[in-house]
Amino acid sequence: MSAPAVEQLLAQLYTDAAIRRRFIANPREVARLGGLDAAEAQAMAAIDLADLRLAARSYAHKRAGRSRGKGLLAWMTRRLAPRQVPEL
Amino acid sequence: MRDRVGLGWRGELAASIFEHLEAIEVLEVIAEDWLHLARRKQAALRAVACERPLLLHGVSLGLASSIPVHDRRLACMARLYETVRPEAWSEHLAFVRAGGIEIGHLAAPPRTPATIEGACDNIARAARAIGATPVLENIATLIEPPASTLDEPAWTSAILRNCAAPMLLDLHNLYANALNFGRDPAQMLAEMPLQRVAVVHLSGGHWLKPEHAPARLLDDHLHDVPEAVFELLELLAQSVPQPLSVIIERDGNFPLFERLLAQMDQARAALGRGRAARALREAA
Repeated sequence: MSAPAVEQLLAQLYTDAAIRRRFIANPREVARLGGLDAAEAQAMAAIDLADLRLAARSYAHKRAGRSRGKGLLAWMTRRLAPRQVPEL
Repeated sequence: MRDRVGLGWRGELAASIFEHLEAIEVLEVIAEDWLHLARRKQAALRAVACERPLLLHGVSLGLASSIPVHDRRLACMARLYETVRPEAWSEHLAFVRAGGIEIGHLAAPPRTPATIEGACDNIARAARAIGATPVLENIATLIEPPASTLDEPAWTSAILRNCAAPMLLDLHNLYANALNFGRDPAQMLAEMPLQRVAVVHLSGGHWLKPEHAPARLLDDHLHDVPEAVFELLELLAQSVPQPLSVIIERDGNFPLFERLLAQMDQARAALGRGRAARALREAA
């Protein structure tokens, strides 16, 4: 078992649209290339694809919110106005 | 000690928090908002901690991982903890990065013996670095972590037991996970290691309705606490003898402060009903 490799593949699937597309097309192959053994690859292949897309969208939304928050202007805007986080 | 109800500190709420301090029994501060500030600025939090019991809440260590947390991150938390001297500090049972990739938020790792072991190693290192064991929080997830061999209550219980750690039970996270993956929230609550719960989070969320896929409840901290979550709080108060510190979390879409105060009152009422039912049961 390679738990770090599973976590790394999950992190890639949540953040990288190209890897996600390749995984959806051929999950076992992408998992194998990521260093997972056959049992892990099979477990990854059973992932709920609709939930994977939704989770990836949610994480992208969070990262976008964070990057919007960088810089002095953004900091001042946050301090001077009530924060309105757009809904996902 | 008795049950306490309070609020998550947010800059946007600061003035109202100070104005209504008599109604707030405990405050929780996001550590990452202060981690990289000069010690002099961090010391301002010490002043807040003198006004009300303060809980320091970390969101980015990624303790529940088979990958070791970087020493530098633990040192930053230790420095803030030492400066602020909070009543306690907490972190999530989540991973947030792997292989140099930042996910940008809390993610559920596969629930396996390997991540239990990794989490316990990380938690032990964090406790040594900071000088106090973190209170550990269950997270919400939109996806059942693949490659899992344990369900969430069993995985959570094993980590808390092995680390002898207290729990921060986020009732909206539990509620969302239960509804999203076809479980009964009250039953799932009963399976959690309730005897370890010291702190409770309450928040709200909204339903995502993707085309051609089941709806999912997103824990967004942008909406009021739903009634069903107050009912879970009542059930919790009925189930355990220890005092609870209950924090309402609101990250944006801020309502009038009176509405947050009203939700704190709803939490007190739920605690009161639960404690009364427990007292009745014990008397019988």
